[in-house]
Amino acid sequence: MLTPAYSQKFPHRSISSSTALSSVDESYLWKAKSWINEYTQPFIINPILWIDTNPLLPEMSTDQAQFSILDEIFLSEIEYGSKRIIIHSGLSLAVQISFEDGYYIAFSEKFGVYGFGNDRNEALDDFKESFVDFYCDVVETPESELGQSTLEYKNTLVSFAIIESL
Amino acid sequence: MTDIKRDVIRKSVQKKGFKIKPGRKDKAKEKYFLRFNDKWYTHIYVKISRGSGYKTYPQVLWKRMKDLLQLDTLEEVRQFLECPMTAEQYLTKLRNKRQIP
Repeated sequence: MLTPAYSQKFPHRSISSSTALSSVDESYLWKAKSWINEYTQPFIINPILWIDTNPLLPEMSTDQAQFSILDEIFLSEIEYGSKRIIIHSGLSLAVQISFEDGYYIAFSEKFGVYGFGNDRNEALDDFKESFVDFYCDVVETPESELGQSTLEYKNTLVSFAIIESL
Repeated sequence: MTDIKRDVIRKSVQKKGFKIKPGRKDKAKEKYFLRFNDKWYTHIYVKISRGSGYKTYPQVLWKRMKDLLQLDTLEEVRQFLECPMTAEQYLTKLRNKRQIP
């Protein structure tokens, strides 16, 4: 569940798909409309349409519909152990923090990498470990040992970030 | 959908060609990578915690494996992890997505 303060600030995030919206009650729609009126969306009348098309919202499938995103953070560096990944050119990696069935989850939608834990910091630490590990497994494995799709994936990762030893 | 036993997950991934990479020193976790035609596909993997608190995996955790396994739905992930999906069926999905030759 979202906290009341969060719900007031981001009413759209408690609902994550158009399927879920079909069963939402009137009070939710009222909140969404008032939020839109209050903050800069004067040209879009239908809140459902706005929710489905707003590029600022994370994309989620109906498979993911039953959770609440608590926060989204943007990392320009990811450090774990003796390794640090530095993301190129002022870009950053979006990591969603959610709370689901008693677990905190940190998840990168771009790469599908996730970490989990009993609190937010534990989840984020697990994510950092997973991501650094993931990067090393793809980028540092000798190319002769990798399949073609992983080699292509490696190019994507290398164009996105570099790794350095601390 | 329900919890899936860690042992079931471990057996399922091994049946589908996932292996632990030699030389890794993971203590708290086991990481299984897709191994196909003597090549590693290290962006396709499953990570399993060894801790006593993870003898079963609740849906909230196993569903996150979807993207890393290159699957499209939670039902596919469940079939993959509980084994109704055969290795050949899984490899066919990967071929269709041009992940393996």
